[in-house]
Formats: sequence, C-alpha cells, structure tokens
Amino acid sequence: MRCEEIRKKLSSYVDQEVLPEEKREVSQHLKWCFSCQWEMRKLLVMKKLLRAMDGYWEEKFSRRVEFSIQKFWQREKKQKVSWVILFCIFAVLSLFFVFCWRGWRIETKLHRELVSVSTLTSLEVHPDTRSQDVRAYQIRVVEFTLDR
Amino acid sequence: MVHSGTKAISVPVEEEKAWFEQKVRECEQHLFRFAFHLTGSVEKSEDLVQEAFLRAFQYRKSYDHDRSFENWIYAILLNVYRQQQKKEKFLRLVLPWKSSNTEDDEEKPWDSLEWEGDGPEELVLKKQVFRDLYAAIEKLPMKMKEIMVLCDVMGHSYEEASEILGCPIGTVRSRLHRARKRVKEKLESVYGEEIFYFWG
Repeated sequence: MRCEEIRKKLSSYVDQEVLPEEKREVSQHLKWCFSCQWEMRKLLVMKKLLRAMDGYWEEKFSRRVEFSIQKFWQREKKQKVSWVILFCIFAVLSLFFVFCWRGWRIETKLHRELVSVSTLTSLEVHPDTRSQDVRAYQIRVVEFTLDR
Repeated sequence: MVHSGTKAISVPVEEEKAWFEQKVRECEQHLFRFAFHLTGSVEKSEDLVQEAFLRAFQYRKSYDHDRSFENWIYAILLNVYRQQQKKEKFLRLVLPWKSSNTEDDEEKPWDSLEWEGDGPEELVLKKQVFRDLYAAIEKLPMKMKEIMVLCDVMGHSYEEASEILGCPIGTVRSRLHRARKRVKEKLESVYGEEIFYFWG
C-alpha cells in the first residue's frame, strides 16, 4: 500500500476506529515507513494537546459551574408567562381590528344607502354627516317620504 | 421517569422535573465544556447550556429512552448553537461595525491560562500553542469544527459523534481527517515541525 493511502487511514488508526484488516495493513506499513511514523506521531501529539486543553478546563470549571436548577425553573416559568402575555396581546389586538373592520363595514354600507336614496328622491341629505344615528334617521325620513 | 421502551407513559410534572434535574446534574459539566469549546466564551456557553436545557425540557416527550440522554442533549445544544451562529452571521452582515467591535474587545479565556510547576518559558509557549490551536479550530468550517471538538477535544467515539451529529460514521471519519489535516498544517506553518518534538 502506498503512503498516500495509508495517511488517509492514519487518522482513524490513531483513534482505533479502523477495521481489523485495515489495522493490520497500517501496522505492517508503519514498521518500515519512517515518514508515515512521523505523521502518526504528529497526529498523536495534536490529539494529546487537544485532550490536555479539555483536561485543563475540566479542572478549572469543576468548582465554577454550578448549574442553578432553580434559575432554570424560573426561566422556564418566565418563558411560559411571556407566551401567555404574548397570546393575550395578540387576542386583544385581533379583537380591536375585528371591531374596527365591522365599524368600517357598517359605515360604508350606510354611506352607500344614503347616496342611493338621495339620488332617487332628489332630497337633500348629507352623506358626510359624522354621526351614524343622524344618518340612519335621515334614511328613515326619506323612506317614509317615499312610502307616502 | 416511568416509561416503556420509546413510549413514555404520562407521569406527573413533578416526577418529570425530578427526573430531568437528575439528568441535568449528570451531564451539566460535560455540556458546559462542550459549549465553551464551541463558543470560546464562558458567558456565551452558560447561555447556550441554559437554552439547550430549556429546549430539552420543552421537547422531553420526544426523547427516546433507549438512547443516551447526554447524546440527545448534545444534539440539541448543537442545534441551538447553529441557530445562534446563523443569527450572528446575519447581524454581522446587516450591522458590520457593531459585531466586529464586540469581538475585538472580548477577552479570551485562554489569555489567563496558568499551570502549576511550569517555568516561565514553558508557560509562555504553552499559552501560545493553546491560543493558536483554538484559533485554528475557530477558523475551521462549522461542520469540521463540531466534529473536532466532539472527537478530539471531548474524546467522544466516532459512533457517539455520528449519533449526535446525525450523520454516518464514514462522514465523521472523513471530516475529522480533513479537520486534523488543516489544524496540523496551521500549527506547522506557525511553529515548524519542532513543536511535535517538543510536545512528543
């Protein structure tokens, strides 16, 4: 086997994550190839350094990290409450928009009726009147006149 | 927690909480260190672990009791981390001046490394090598970084890494090989081959 192929397997070899036949091949090759031996040594050193890094922090943090479960439950509760608040805000806003939309619909309908009635009767009515009651009253007066 | 195979029988919330607390105690240290190696900041890793536990508790019903709890929570933490990274990337794109300033000002924990019994020269070299190692891992693409932290720094097996990352063992093997190659090249470019003599 060529060095290039062996080096591809070296990484798994140092982790002992190769198949038995691959392990045999790599071991055989490493017996006589110094260049590949040196590559393996580099990988082992790097692995050692990286594990040392974790070991260092393990010691350093062992006393520091005291995960507060109480804090966690508080946060969990807070999140639930914030969802409820958000839902309430959403419900109130939706209701507000529904009422606005309904009001606008009634207004438009009334306006249309008023315009058509005033065109039919050539009576002077005021579509721009702001109060709905006044305009409804005007429509009733016009309808009454037409009936007569 | 009462369960039968993968299907959990409904249990009182208090019992679920007690079960969850016990599991948290078992793996909090590992999880915190994993988060720390990913983020490189104590504050960020604390937030990340809190968020991961919170999500784990929310989705506790989907936990398969035949699998390891630690691996499951590792996967959750990784997902949270990926989401945060995406968010940060987006913010960096939208507000480049803001994010670059905060990163530069932040003091890295490995600036204050200390070992007992080391001479000043050795200490300086160790600090320098550790800093460069972290920098090299930091610069790796996300997927390679995750696998390197899991297998090389935390010492997980390929099988565990494949379960956490949700990819085949072959993918773990090839990604790890490429990641190690890059980090090795980076170290060689800074210190030359002597560094491997020194530490070997």
